[in-house]
Amino acid sequence: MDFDFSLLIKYLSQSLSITERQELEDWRNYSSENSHLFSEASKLRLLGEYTRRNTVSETAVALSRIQEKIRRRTIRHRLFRVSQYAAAIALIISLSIFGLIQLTAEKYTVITVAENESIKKIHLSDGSMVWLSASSELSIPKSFSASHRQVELKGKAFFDIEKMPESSFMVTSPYMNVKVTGTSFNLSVDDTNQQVETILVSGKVILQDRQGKDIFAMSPGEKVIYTAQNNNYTISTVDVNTLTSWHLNQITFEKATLREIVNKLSLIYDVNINLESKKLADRRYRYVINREETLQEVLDILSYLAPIHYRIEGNEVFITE
Amino acid sequence: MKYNRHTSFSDSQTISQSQFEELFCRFYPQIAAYATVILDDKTAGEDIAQEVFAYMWEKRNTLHQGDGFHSYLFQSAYSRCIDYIKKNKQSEKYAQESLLQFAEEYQSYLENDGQPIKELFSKDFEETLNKLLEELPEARREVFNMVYRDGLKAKEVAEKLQMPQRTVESHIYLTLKFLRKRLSPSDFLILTLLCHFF
Repeated sequence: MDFDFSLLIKYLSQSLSITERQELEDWRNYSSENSHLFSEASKLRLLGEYTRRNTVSETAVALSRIQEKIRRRTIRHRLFRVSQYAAAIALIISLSIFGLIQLTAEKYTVITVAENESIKKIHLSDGSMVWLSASSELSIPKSFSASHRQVELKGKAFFDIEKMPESSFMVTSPYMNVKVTGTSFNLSVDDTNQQVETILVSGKVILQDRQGKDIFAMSPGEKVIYTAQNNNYTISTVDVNTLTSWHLNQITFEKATLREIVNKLSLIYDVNINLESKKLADRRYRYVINREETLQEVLDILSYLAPIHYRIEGNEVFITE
Repeated sequence: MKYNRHTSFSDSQTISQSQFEELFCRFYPQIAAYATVILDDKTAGEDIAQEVFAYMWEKRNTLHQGDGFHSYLFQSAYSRCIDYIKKNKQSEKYAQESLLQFAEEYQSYLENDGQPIKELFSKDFEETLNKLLEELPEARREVFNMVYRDGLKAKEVAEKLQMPQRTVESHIYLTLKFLRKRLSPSDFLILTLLCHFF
Protein backbone atom coordinates (compact mmCIF):
# COMPACT_ATOMS: atom_id res chain seq x y z
CA MET A 1 0.00 0.00 0.00
CA ASP A 2 1.32 3.34 -0.98
CA PHE A 3 1.23 5.52 2.10
CA ASP A 4 2.70 8.87 2.84
CA PHE A 5 4.38 8.54 6.24
CA SER A 6 4.64 12.25 6.57
CA LEU A 7 0.96 12.07 7.52
CA LEU A 8 1.75 10.01 10.57
CA ILE A 9 4.47 12.47 11.49
CA LYS A 10 2.20 15.41 10.94
CA TYR A 11 -0.35 13.72 13.15
CA LEU A 12 2.21 13.55 15.97
CA SER A 13 2.48 17.26 16.40
CA GLN A 14 0.03 19.18 14.27
CA SER A 15 -3.43 19.34 12.80
CA LEU A 16 -4.41 17.27 9.80
CA SER A 17 -6.77 18.41 7.09
CA ILE A 18 -9.98 16.44 6.64
CA THR A 19 -8.68 14.53 3.64
CA GLU A 20 -5.41 13.79 5.39
CA ARG A 21 -7.26 12.48 8.40
CA GLN A 22 -9.33 10.22 6.19
CA GLU A 23 -6.20 8.93 4.46
CA LEU A 24 -4.59 8.19 7.83
CA GLU A 25 -7.75 6.44 8.99
CA ASP A 26 -7.71 4.21 5.91
CA TRP A 27 -4.07 3.37 6.54
CA ARG A 28 -4.82 2.60 10.17
CA ASN A 29 -7.59 0.16 9.22
CA TYR A 30 -5.43 -1.56 6.61
CA SER A 31 -3.60 -3.91 9.00
CA SER A 32 -3.35 -4.62 12.69
CA GLU A 33 0.31 -3.59 12.60
CA ASN A 34 -0.74 -0.21 11.25
CA SER A 35 -3.41 0.14 13.87
CA HIS A 36 -0.88 -0.63 16.62
CA LEU A 37 1.50 1.96 15.22
CA PHE A 38 -1.32 4.46 15.08
CA SER A 39 -2.10 3.70 18.69
CA GLU A 40 1.48 4.45 19.68
CA ALA A 41 1.48 7.68 17.70
CA SER A 42 -1.78 8.72 19.40
CA LYS A 43 -0.31 8.19 22.84
CA LEU A 44 2.80 10.15 21.96
CA ARG A 45 0.68 12.88 20.44
CA LEU A 46 -1.26 13.26 23.65
CA LEU A 47 1.87 13.21 25.76
CA GLY A 48 3.62 15.68 23.47
CA GLU A 49 0.67 18.05 23.59
CA TYR A 50 0.69 17.76 27.36
CA THR A 51 4.44 18.36 27.64
CA ARG A 52 4.27 21.45 25.48
CA ARG A 53 1.36 22.77 27.54
CA ASN A 54 2.53 21.90 31.02
CA THR A 55 4.19 25.21 31.78
CA VAL A 56 3.75 27.43 34.79
CA SER A 57 2.75 30.42 32.70
CA GLU A 58 0.12 28.60 30.65
CA THR A 59 -1.43 27.06 33.75
CA ALA A 60 -1.38 30.42 35.52
CA VAL A 61 -3.18 32.08 32.62
CA ALA A 62 -5.77 29.28 32.52
CA LEU A 63 -6.24 29.50 36.29
CA SER A 64 -6.94 33.22 36.21
CA ARG A 65 -9.36 32.60 33.35
CA ILE A 66 -11.36 30.05 35.31
CA GLN A 67 -11.35 32.22 38.42
CA GLU A 68 -12.81 35.03 36.39
CA LYS A 69 -15.39 32.65 34.96
CA ILE A 70 -16.35 31.30 38.37
CA ARG A 71 -16.63 34.79 39.75
CA ARG A 72 -18.95 35.88 36.99
CA ARG A 73 -21.05 32.75 37.31
CA THR A 74 -21.34 33.16 41.06
CA ILE A 75 -22.60 36.70 40.70
CA ARG A 76 -25.08 35.74 38.00
CA HIS A 77 -26.26 32.71 39.94
CA ARG A 78 -26.81 34.58 43.18
CA LEU A 79 -28.47 37.48 41.44
CA PHE A 80 -30.88 35.14 39.75
CA ARG A 81 -31.87 33.57 43.05
CA VAL A 82 -32.44 36.75 44.94
CA SER A 83 -34.46 38.37 42.17
CA GLN A 84 -37.53 36.76 43.69
CA TYR A 85 -37.20 38.99 46.73
CA ALA A 86 -37.52 42.68 47.09
CA ALA A 87 -35.14 44.71 44.98
CA ALA A 88 -33.67 46.44 47.99
CA ILE A 89 -32.70 43.19 49.63
CA ALA A 90 -31.27 41.94 46.36
CA LEU A 91 -29.12 44.98 46.10
CA ILE A 92 -27.75 44.65 49.61
CA ILE A 93 -27.03 40.95 49.23
CA SER A 94 -25.36 41.25 45.88
CA LEU A 95 -23.28 44.14 47.12
CA SER A 96 -22.06 42.12 50.08
CA ILE A 97 -21.38 39.10 47.88
CA PHE A 98 -19.46 41.33 45.55
CA GLY A 99 -17.45 42.62 48.50
CA LEU A 100 -16.70 39.08 49.58
CA ILE A 101 -15.55 38.13 46.12
CA GLN A 102 -13.39 41.21 45.94
CA LEU A 103 -11.68 40.09 49.13
CA THR A 104 -11.03 36.54 47.94
CA ALA A 105 -9.85 37.86 44.59
CA GLU A 106 -6.88 39.37 46.40
CA LYS A 107 -5.40 35.88 46.62
CA TYR A 108 -2.04 35.16 45.08
CA THR A 109 -0.74 32.57 42.70
CA VAL A 110 2.44 31.21 44.22
CA ILE A 111 5.14 29.89 41.91
CA THR A 112 7.81 27.81 43.60
CA VAL A 113 11.07 26.47 42.24
CA ALA A 114 12.43 23.64 44.38
CA GLU A 115 16.07 23.30 45.30
CA ASN A 116 16.75 20.66 42.65
CA GLU A 117 14.69 22.29 39.90
CA SER A 118 16.02 24.39 37.08
CA ILE A 119 15.25 28.05 36.50
CA LYS A 120 11.66 28.90 35.65
CA LYS A 121 10.85 31.69 33.23
CA ILE A 122 7.58 33.40 34.12
CA HIS A 123 5.65 35.66 31.78
CA LEU A 124 3.53 38.08 33.77
CA SER A 125 0.22 39.27 32.33
CA ASP A 126 1.61 42.78 31.78
CA GLY A 127 4.36 41.48 29.48
CA SER A 128 7.10 41.54 32.12
CA MET A 129 9.33 38.53 32.56
CA VAL A 130 10.79 36.97 35.67
CA TRP A 131 13.46 34.26 35.84
CA LEU A 132 13.03 32.45 39.12
CA SER A 133 16.07 30.64 40.50
CA ALA A 134 16.16 27.37 42.47
CA SER A 135 14.89 27.44 46.09
CA SER A 136 12.81 30.52 45.34
CA GLU A 137 9.20 31.56 45.45
CA LEU A 138 7.26 34.30 43.69
CA SER A 139 3.73 35.35 44.67
CA ILE A 140 1.74 36.98 41.91
CA PRO A 141 -1.75 38.44 42.41
CA LYS A 142 -4.50 36.83 40.35
CA SER A 143 -4.65 40.01 38.32
CA PHE A 144 -2.75 43.27 38.43
CA SER A 145 -4.70 46.41 39.22
CA ALA A 146 -4.55 49.15 36.60
CA SER A 147 -2.43 51.53 38.65
CA HIS A 148 -0.27 49.19 40.70
CA ARG A 149 1.53 45.94 40.02
CA GLN A 150 3.01 44.11 42.98
CA VAL A 151 4.72 40.74 43.48
CA GLU A 152 6.46 39.20 46.47
CA LEU A 153 9.80 37.39 46.27
CA LYS A 154 11.55 34.85 48.45
CA GLY A 155 14.96 33.75 47.16
CA LYS A 156 16.53 34.92 43.92
CA ALA A 157 15.06 36.23 40.67
CA PHE A 158 15.94 38.29 37.64
CA PHE A 159 13.26 40.80 36.60
CA ASP A 160 12.70 42.35 33.20
CA ILE A 161 9.84 44.75 33.81
CA GLU A 162 7.64 46.23 31.11
CA LYS A 163 7.53 50.00 31.29
CA MET A 164 4.04 51.38 31.96
CA PRO A 165 3.97 55.09 32.86
CA GLU A 166 0.55 54.89 34.50
CA SER A 167 1.26 51.76 36.54
CA SER A 168 4.13 51.31 39.00
CA PHE A 169 5.70 47.94 39.70
CA MET A 170 6.76 46.86 43.16
CA VAL A 171 8.68 43.82 44.40
CA THR A 172 8.16 43.27 48.10
CA SER A 173 10.08 41.17 50.62
CA PRO A 174 9.80 40.90 54.40
CA TYR A 175 12.76 43.27 54.76
CA MET A 176 12.69 45.78 51.96
CA ASN A 177 10.75 46.75 48.84
CA VAL A 178 11.95 47.67 45.37
CA LYS A 179 9.95 50.20 43.41
CA VAL A 180 10.44 49.86 39.69
CA THR A 181 9.84 51.81 36.54
CA GLY A 182 10.72 49.97 33.30
CA THR A 183 13.93 48.12 33.98
CA SER A 184 15.85 44.89 34.46
CA PHE A 185 17.47 43.90 37.71
CA ASN A 186 18.48 41.01 39.89
CA LEU A 187 17.09 40.52 43.38
CA SER A 188 18.03 37.97 46.07
CA VAL A 189 16.16 37.77 49.34
CA ASP A 190 18.20 35.79 51.86
CA ASP A 191 16.07 34.71 54.83
CA THR A 192 18.93 33.24 56.84
CA ASN A 193 20.87 36.47 57.03
CA GLN A 194 17.82 38.72 56.52
CA GLN A 195 19.66 40.31 53.62
CA VAL A 196 18.38 41.65 50.32
CA GLU A 197 20.78 42.05 47.42
CA THR A 198 19.75 44.17 44.43
CA ILE A 199 21.78 44.46 41.23
CA LEU A 200 20.53 46.95 38.67
CA VAL A 201 21.27 46.19 35.02
CA SER A 202 19.33 48.95 33.30
CA GLY A 203 16.72 51.62 34.04
CA LYS A 204 16.04 52.85 37.52
CA VAL A 205 14.77 51.34 40.77
CA ILE A 206 14.07 52.89 44.13
CA LEU A 207 14.69 50.91 47.29
CA GLN A 208 12.08 51.46 49.96
CA ASP A 209 11.71 50.33 53.54
CA ARG A 210 8.69 48.25 54.57
CA GLN A 211 6.78 51.41 55.42
CA GLY A 212 7.14 52.57 51.82
CA LYS A 213 9.65 55.34 52.54
CA ASP A 214 12.23 55.91 49.79
CA ILE A 215 15.75 55.04 50.88
CA PHE A 216 17.96 54.96 47.85
CA ALA A 217 17.63 55.47 44.09
CA MET A 218 19.93 53.02 42.30
CA SER A 219 21.80 53.59 39.04
CA PRO A 220 22.67 50.87 36.52
CA GLY A 221 25.77 48.85 37.42
CA GLU A 222 25.25 49.22 41.14
CA LYS A 223 24.81 46.52 43.72
CA VAL A 224 23.16 47.26 47.05
CA ILE A 225 23.15 44.83 49.96
CA TYR A 226 20.67 45.64 52.66
CA THR A 227 20.93 43.90 56.05
CA ALA A 228 17.67 44.12 57.98
CA GLN A 229 19.13 43.45 61.43
CA ASN A 230 21.30 46.54 61.63
CA ASN A 231 19.48 48.49 58.91
CA ASN A 232 22.72 48.77 56.96
CA TYR A 233 23.22 49.40 53.22
CA THR A 234 26.40 48.61 51.32
CA ILE A 235 26.67 50.07 47.84
CA SER A 236 29.24 48.92 45.29
CA THR A 237 29.79 49.01 41.54
CA VAL A 238 29.87 45.57 39.93
CA ASP A 239 30.10 43.71 36.63
CA VAL A 240 26.36 43.21 36.19
CA ASN A 241 26.62 40.76 33.31
CA THR A 242 28.68 38.31 35.31
CA LEU A 243 26.40 38.48 38.31
CA THR A 244 23.14 38.14 36.41
CA SER A 245 24.12 35.61 33.74
CA TRP A 246 22.64 32.75 35.80
CA HIS A 247 19.19 33.45 34.40
CA LEU A 248 20.46 32.68 30.90
CA ASN A 249 21.53 29.26 32.10
CA GLN A 250 25.16 30.30 32.00
CA ILE A 251 27.86 29.86 34.57
CA THR A 252 30.37 32.64 34.63
CA PHE A 253 33.81 32.44 36.15
CA GLU A 254 35.45 35.76 36.89
CA LYS A 255 39.19 35.69 37.59
CA ALA A 256 38.84 32.08 38.63
CA THR A 257 41.84 29.75 38.83
CA LEU A 258 41.95 26.84 36.44
CA ARG A 259 41.62 24.58 39.46
CA GLU A 260 38.36 26.27 40.50
CA ILE A 261 37.00 25.97 36.97
CA VAL A 262 37.97 22.32 36.70
CA ASN A 263 36.41 21.49 40.09
CA LYS A 264 33.13 23.04 39.00
CA LEU A 265 33.23 21.20 35.67
CA SER A 266 33.73 17.85 37.35
CA LEU A 267 30.64 18.54 39.49
CA ILE A 268 28.51 19.63 36.57
CA TYR A 269 29.45 16.79 34.24
CA ASP A 270 29.99 14.18 36.94
CA VAL A 271 33.47 13.20 35.82
CA ASN A 272 36.84 13.01 37.51
CA ILE A 273 39.20 15.65 36.15
CA ASN A 274 42.94 15.29 36.72
CA LEU A 275 44.80 18.54 36.38
CA GLU A 276 48.35 17.38 35.78
CA SER A 277 50.11 20.71 35.90
CA LYS A 278 50.78 22.62 39.09
CA LYS A 279 51.93 25.62 37.13
CA LEU A 280 48.65 26.01 35.24
CA ALA A 281 46.39 25.28 38.20
CA ASP A 282 46.74 28.73 39.75
CA ARG A 283 46.39 30.79 36.61
CA ARG A 284 43.26 32.89 36.49
CA TYR A 285 40.71 33.10 33.69
CA ARG A 286 37.41 34.70 32.82
CA TYR A 287 35.26 31.97 31.41
CA VAL A 288 31.55 31.48 30.57
CA ILE A 289 29.87 28.14 29.98
CA ASN A 290 26.38 27.41 28.79
CA ARG A 291 24.57 24.66 30.64
CA GLU A 292 23.60 22.98 27.38
CA GLU A 293 27.17 22.55 26.19
CA THR A 294 28.73 19.11 26.33
CA LEU A 295 31.90 18.42 28.29
CA GLN A 296 33.86 18.12 25.08
CA GLU A 297 32.62 21.49 23.79
CA VAL A 298 33.49 23.12 27.10
CA LEU A 299 36.98 21.59 27.14
CA ASP A 300 37.56 22.60 23.53
CA ILE A 301 36.89 26.23 24.41
CA LEU A 302 38.97 25.94 27.54
CA SER A 303 41.96 24.59 25.64
CA TYR A 304 41.59 27.55 23.35
CA LEU A 305 41.78 29.94 26.31
CA ALA A 306 44.51 28.21 28.28
CA PRO A 307 47.59 26.41 26.98
CA ILE A 308 46.25 22.99 27.79
CA HIS A 309 45.61 19.64 26.15
CA TYR A 310 43.01 17.20 27.30
CA ARG A 311 41.95 13.64 26.76
CA ILE A 312 38.78 11.93 27.93
CA GLU A 313 38.95 8.29 28.97
CA GLY A 314 35.51 7.17 30.06
CA ASN A 315 34.81 8.90 33.32
CA GLU A 316 38.31 10.33 33.66
CA VAL A 317 39.60 13.50 32.09
CA PHE A 318 43.31 14.32 31.96
CA ILE A 319 44.45 17.89 31.47
CA THR A 320 48.10 18.47 30.63
CA GLU A 321 50.23 21.32 29.42
CA MET B 1 3.27 25.55 40.69
CA LYS B 2 2.56 24.52 44.23
CA TYR B 3 0.60 21.35 44.58
CA ASN B 4 0.67 18.18 46.51
CA ARG B 5 1.03 15.13 44.33
CA HIS B 6 -1.02 12.97 46.59
CA THR B 7 -3.99 15.21 47.23
CA SER B 8 -7.06 13.10 47.75
CA PHE B 9 -10.31 13.58 49.50
CA SER B 10 -12.57 11.58 51.68
CA ASP B 11 -16.13 11.24 50.46
CA SER B 12 -17.71 13.66 52.85
CA GLN B 13 -15.39 16.60 52.24
CA THR B 14 -16.26 19.43 49.93
CA ILE B 15 -13.60 21.14 47.86
CA SER B 16 -12.30 24.42 49.19
CA GLN B 17 -11.08 27.12 46.87
CA SER B 18 -7.43 26.37 47.51
CA GLN B 19 -7.97 22.64 46.95
CA PHE B 20 -9.73 23.46 43.73
CA GLU B 21 -6.77 25.54 42.60
CA GLU B 22 -4.41 22.74 43.47
CA LEU B 23 -6.45 20.25 41.47
CA PHE B 24 -6.69 22.69 38.62
CA CYS B 25 -2.93 23.22 38.41
CA ARG B 26 -2.35 19.51 38.51
CA PHE B 27 -4.95 18.34 36.01
CA TYR B 28 -5.67 21.28 33.74
CA PRO B 29 -2.68 20.66 31.41
CA GLN B 30 -3.66 16.99 31.11
CA ILE B 31 -7.33 17.68 30.45
CA ALA B 32 -6.57 20.49 28.00
CA ALA B 33 -4.12 18.26 26.10
CA TYR B 34 -6.63 15.42 26.03
CA ALA B 35 -9.44 17.59 24.65
CA THR B 36 -7.06 19.23 22.17
CA VAL B 37 -5.98 15.96 20.57
CA ILE B 38 -9.57 14.70 20.35
CA LEU B 39 -10.86 17.88 18.74
CA ASP B 40 -7.66 18.57 16.80
CA ASP B 41 -8.13 22.17 17.88
CA LYS B 42 -6.11 23.94 20.55
CA THR B 43 -8.56 26.71 21.42
CA ALA B 44 -11.57 24.41 21.52
CA GLY B 45 -9.57 22.01 23.72
CA GLU B 46 -8.82 24.78 26.20
CA ASP B 47 -12.47 25.82 26.26
CA ILE B 48 -13.57 22.27 27.01
CA ALA B 49 -11.04 21.98 29.85
CA GLN B 50 -12.32 25.26 31.30
CA GLU B 51 -15.88 23.93 31.12
CA VAL B 52 -14.91 20.71 32.90
CA PHE B 53 -13.39 22.63 35.79
CA ALA B 54 -16.16 25.23 35.95
CA TYR B 55 -18.66 22.38 36.22
CA MET B 56 -16.56 20.70 38.86
CA TRP B 57 -16.55 23.91 40.88
CA GLU B 58 -20.33 24.28 40.62
CA LYS B 59 -20.89 20.71 41.74
CA ARG B 60 -18.14 20.71 44.35
CA ASN B 61 -20.58 19.96 47.17
CA THR B 62 -22.15 16.92 45.56
CA LEU B 63 -19.31 15.36 43.59
CA HIS B 64 -18.02 12.01 44.67
CA GLN B 65 -14.35 12.58 45.27
CA GLY B 66 -12.97 9.11 45.72
CA ASP B 67 -10.47 7.18 43.62
CA GLY B 68 -12.46 7.55 40.44
CA PHE B 69 -12.22 11.31 40.56
CA HIS B 70 -9.29 11.46 38.16
CA SER B 71 -10.99 9.37 35.48
CA TYR B 72 -14.22 11.28 36.06
CA LEU B 73 -12.50 14.47 34.87
CA PHE B 74 -11.31 12.79 31.68
CA GLN B 75 -14.68 11.10 31.12
CA SER B 76 -16.37 14.44 31.46
CA ALA B 77 -13.91 16.03 29.01
CA TYR B 78 -14.44 13.17 26.55
CA SER B 79 -18.22 13.42 26.49
CA ARG B 80 -18.03 17.20 26.13
CA CYS B 81 -15.70 16.75 23.16
CA ILE B 82 -18.09 14.33 21.49
CA ASP B 83 -20.98 16.75 22.04
CA TYR B 84 -18.86 19.52 20.62
CA ILE B 85 -18.03 17.55 17.47
CA LYS B 86 -21.64 16.55 16.94
CA LYS B 87 -23.02 20.01 17.58
CA ASN B 88 -20.51 21.76 15.41
CA LYS B 89 -22.74 22.23 12.37
CA GLN B 90 -20.18 24.19 10.42
CA SER B 91 -18.03 21.17 9.85
CA GLU B 92 -19.21 18.76 7.21
CA LYS B 93 -20.48 15.34 7.92
CA TYR B 94 -17.41 13.38 6.94
CA ALA B 95 -15.16 15.66 8.99
CA GLN B 96 -17.27 14.78 12.00
CA GLU B 97 -16.97 11.11 11.24
CA SER B 98 -13.21 11.13 10.97
CA LEU B 99 -12.88 13.02 14.27
CA LEU B 100 -15.20 10.55 15.95
CA GLN B 101 -13.22 7.60 14.59
CA PHE B 102 -10.00 8.96 16.06
CA ALA B 103 -11.81 9.80 19.29
CA GLU B 104 -12.45 6.08 19.88
CA GLU B 105 -8.73 5.62 20.25
CA TYR B 106 -8.63 8.23 23.00
CA GLN B 107 -11.73 6.83 24.66
CA SER B 108 -9.94 3.52 25.11
CA TYR B 109 -7.55 5.26 27.54
CA LEU B 110 -10.44 5.69 29.95
CA GLU B 111 -11.11 1.97 30.37
CA ASN B 112 -10.44 0.33 33.73
CA ASP B 113 -11.17 3.48 35.69
CA GLY B 114 -8.80 5.48 33.54
CA GLN B 115 -5.78 3.30 34.32
CA PRO B 116 -4.17 3.71 30.85
CA ILE B 117 -4.31 7.49 30.95
CA LYS B 118 -3.02 7.58 34.51
CA GLU B 119 -0.03 5.54 33.37
CA LEU B 120 0.51 7.70 30.33
CA PHE B 121 0.81 10.82 32.47
CA SER B 122 2.87 9.16 35.19
CA LYS B 123 6.55 9.91 35.73
CA ASP B 124 7.32 6.23 35.16
CA PHE B 125 6.09 6.35 31.61
CA GLU B 126 8.07 9.46 30.87
CA GLU B 127 11.18 7.83 32.30
CA THR B 128 10.68 4.60 30.38
CA LEU B 129 10.16 6.57 27.21
CA ASN B 130 13.29 8.63 27.77
CA LYS B 131 15.33 5.53 28.53
CA LEU B 132 14.11 3.85 25.37
CA LEU B 133 14.87 6.93 23.32
CA GLU B 134 18.40 6.86 24.65
CA GLU B 135 18.86 3.45 23.05
CA LEU B 136 18.21 4.93 19.63
CA PRO B 137 21.01 6.05 17.35
CA GLU B 138 21.67 9.71 18.05
CA ALA B 139 20.46 11.02 14.71
CA ARG B 140 17.18 9.16 15.02
CA ARG B 141 16.61 10.41 18.55
CA GLU B 142 17.33 13.96 17.49
CA VAL B 143 14.88 13.78 14.62
CA PHE B 144 12.23 12.27 16.85
CA ASN B 145 12.67 14.88 19.56
CA MET B 146 12.44 17.71 17.08
CA VAL B 147 9.08 16.42 15.88
CA TYR B 148 7.71 15.13 19.15
CA ARG B 149 8.98 17.66 21.68
CA ASP B 150 9.49 20.78 19.60
CA GLY B 151 6.55 20.19 17.28
CA LEU B 152 8.49 20.79 14.06
CA LYS B 153 7.26 19.63 10.69
CA ALA B 154 9.13 16.89 8.84
CA LYS B 155 10.08 19.46 6.23
CA GLU B 156 11.50 21.84 8.84
CA VAL B 157 13.51 19.07 10.44
CA ALA B 158 14.84 18.12 7.02
CA GLU B 159 15.94 21.68 6.36
CA LYS B 160 17.47 22.10 9.79
CA LEU B 161 19.46 18.90 9.69
CA GLN B 162 20.07 19.05 5.95
CA MET B 163 18.81 15.61 5.21
CA PRO B 164 16.17 14.45 2.73
CA GLN B 165 12.61 14.65 4.05
CA ARG B 166 12.19 10.96 3.25
CA THR B 167 15.02 10.17 5.68
CA VAL B 168 13.36 12.22 8.39
CA GLU B 169 10.14 10.33 7.81
CA SER B 170 11.77 6.97 7.94
CA HIS B 171 13.54 7.90 11.19
CA ILE B 172 10.17 8.70 12.76
CA TYR B 173 8.57 5.59 11.38
CA LEU B 174 11.36 3.39 12.72
CA THR B 175 11.20 5.12 16.11
CA LEU B 176 7.48 4.47 16.36
CA LYS B 177 8.02 0.85 15.40
CA PHE B 178 10.75 0.52 18.00
CA LEU B 179 8.62 2.09 20.72
CA ARG B 180 5.65 -0.04 19.77
CA LYS B 181 7.75 -3.14 20.31
CA ARG B 182 9.33 -2.00 23.54
CA LEU B 183 6.56 -0.05 25.26
CA SER B 184 4.29 -3.03 25.71
CA PRO B 185 1.37 -2.96 28.14
CA SER B 186 3.21 -5.49 30.28
CA ASP B 187 5.99 -2.97 30.75
CA PHE B 188 3.42 -0.81 32.41
CA LEU B 189 2.24 -3.62 34.60
CA ILE B 190 5.73 -4.50 35.77
CA LEU B 191 6.52 -0.87 36.42
CA THR B 192 3.37 -0.40 38.45
CA LEU B 193 4.03 -3.56 40.46
CA LEU B 194 7.61 -2.53 41.20
CA CYS B 195 6.43 0.83 42.38
CA HIS B 196 4.05 -0.77 44.79
CA PHE B 197 6.59 -3.08 46.34
CA PHE B 198 9.57 -0.79 46.69
